[in-house]
Amino acid sequence: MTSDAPDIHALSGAYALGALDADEAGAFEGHLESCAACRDEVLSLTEATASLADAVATPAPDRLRTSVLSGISEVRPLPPLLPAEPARTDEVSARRRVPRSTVWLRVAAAVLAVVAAGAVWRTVALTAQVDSITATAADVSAVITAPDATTVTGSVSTGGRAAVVTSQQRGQSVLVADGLAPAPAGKTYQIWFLDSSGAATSAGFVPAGDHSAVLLQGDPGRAAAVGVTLEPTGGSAQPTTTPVLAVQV
Amino acid sequence: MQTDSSSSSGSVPGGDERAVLVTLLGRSSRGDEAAFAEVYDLTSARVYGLARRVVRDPAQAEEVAQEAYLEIWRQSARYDEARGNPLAWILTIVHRRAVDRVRSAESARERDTRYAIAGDGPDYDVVEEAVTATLETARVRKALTSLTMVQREAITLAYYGGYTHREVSELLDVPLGTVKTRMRDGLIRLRDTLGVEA
Repeated sequence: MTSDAPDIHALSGAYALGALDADEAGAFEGHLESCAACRDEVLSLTEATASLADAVATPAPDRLRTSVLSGISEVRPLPPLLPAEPARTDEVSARRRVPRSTVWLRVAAAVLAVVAAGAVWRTVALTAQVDSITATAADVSAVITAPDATTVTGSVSTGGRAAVVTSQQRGQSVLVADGLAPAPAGKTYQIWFLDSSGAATSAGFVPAGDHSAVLLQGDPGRAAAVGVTLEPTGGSAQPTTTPVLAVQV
Repeated sequence: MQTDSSSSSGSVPGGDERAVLVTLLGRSSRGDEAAFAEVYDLTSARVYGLARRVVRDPAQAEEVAQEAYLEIWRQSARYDEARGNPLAWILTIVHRRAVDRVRSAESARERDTRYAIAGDGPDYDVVEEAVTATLETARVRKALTSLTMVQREAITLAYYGGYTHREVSELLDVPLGTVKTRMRDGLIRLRDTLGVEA
């Protein structure tokens, strides 16, 4: 960063407290890359910050434990990031590279290519109502706004369009659908991750609605493509019909 | 440090918690759900307490805590010991989720209104009746009293209140530079008082 303000070091406290907005945090992370003193300071201040949670510790309701443990049983942990792959550098340094405002613009432009911006945000808001715990609105918007998000789009053969937004850092993809024809009675749009050998793994379902967004289940890391097929309600173990959408990711 | 869950999985002596959590996160990253249950038991009171303190609404706090644990489970292979204490990593995830929740909810509202309704000042009294008293809780609360009032105010508004430093500057009607300094100096003092290892 060439535009570091002279007092940027002073942001370490606000950064450790999570009190910077996204743009400022991005700029400060850029500064951290070149300032070892700030890096060390942030590390120690973040630990001091974490101790603030001790002061407000409160026993959690028993049902939280139950729901967390049943939730994780349905989610596969991400693989470790491998340093040998340049595209998958560690999360913080990758985030530093591009200021978030730029990222916003880029992602916004990509998403606008398929769906009107208003629809996306409405969708993201609606997602909160329809999704399971693995696919909250926060997850969807986190993927769409991830610094490394890439977007591919395609036309759905039965009408409408769809975009798949993938963040390899987060190990998550989101499918945004726009103007999809309602699925015929007894059918549902099922989403698949396809690996390079063509093997399909179910990644969930497209929620009903003109504009919808859904966090795909599973890790896009090994997927070569994302496809959508019409399947009997409840879904199939493997695709049984010709895909209405297939995009390379 | 005591295990801070209501469940009885035994206690972890202070210095060992870090090492235990590192091991448990490693096992979790390989899909070991029992290990993650131990992570939960060791951290849930702090995770839930923090979420509750920031979002305030108990039902939303549960949602935030659940989302955060799911993310911690998913990301467990990506925790890097070189990047700090595993507890700090966990709580950073929780705090970010909680803050996202209040900031998105609040953006639709007048935040100043809530501030005004809260009375003559922000709630920077960190002592809450409902909170469990553990040794560590008492130690941190005591350390907080070592801060100056203005440092404590800036830190608690940011961390527990979820306000940005700009908002804190507005709320307290002091220049942004002053707020940054109070936050940094306050955290340094807190760190030194608690003897946090870097």
